[in-house]
Amino acid sequence: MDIDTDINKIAAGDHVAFGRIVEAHQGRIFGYLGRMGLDSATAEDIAQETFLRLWRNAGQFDAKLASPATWILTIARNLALTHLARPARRVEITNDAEPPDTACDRLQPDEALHAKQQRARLHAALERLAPADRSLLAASYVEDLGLAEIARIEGCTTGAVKVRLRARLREILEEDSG
Amino acid sequence: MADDLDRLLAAQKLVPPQGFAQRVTALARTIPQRNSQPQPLRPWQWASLGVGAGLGALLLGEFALFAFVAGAAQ
Repeated sequence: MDIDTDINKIAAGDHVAFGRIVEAHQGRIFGYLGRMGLDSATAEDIAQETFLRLWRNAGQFDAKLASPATWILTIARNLALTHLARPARRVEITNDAEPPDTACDRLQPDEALHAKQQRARLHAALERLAPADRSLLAASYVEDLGLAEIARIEGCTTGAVKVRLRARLREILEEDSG
Repeated sequence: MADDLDRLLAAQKLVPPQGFAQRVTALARTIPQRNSQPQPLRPWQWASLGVGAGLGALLLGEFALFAFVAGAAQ
């Protein structure tokens, strides 16, 4: 089913079409929000509000301005940034966020410790990123999302996206090695 | 090191909880939608607006006339 058609149906109050859109996009939204550093409870709240805003405002969707996927991700981004701008924000800084340790199982103890410290430093560097930069990085990991779509979500040009992405990655990696 | 960053970001990916889509869809059933475009005024709405404006102007004129007459009488 064409997603543009589904948005039109949602605008006409079709709950089945809405359910289809939620099913199709929930994975991307949760993936993005997780990489924004949000805990699962906050991500669920924001994802829910994202889809309910889509439901309420489907009639205002303009296919000429953005694709439905970009529009949905933009709503999620704005809600996430609003949440992160609050003073008492909840950010997941637990060991659960660490990648699976499969590759390190074969390492010697000091190598494993070094790898773990490196991951902790990377994690800390990510936590220190400004929310907008964190969003840019998270968006760049969303499947099937091109530079043009990221630029539309972030409200800048594709050139600016490239420059910002490169600069942030370089900062993180330099911080980690330094 | 860039690989480590990739792995770290990949691991931070969250997945939707079981039944999330069904729950949100059920919630949407209780929420009204906003109209996409403001509806244009219908002829009877224009007519009642005109009548209201006319009556208002009449009252204002009447008040000004009374104030003038009362002022002149003093």
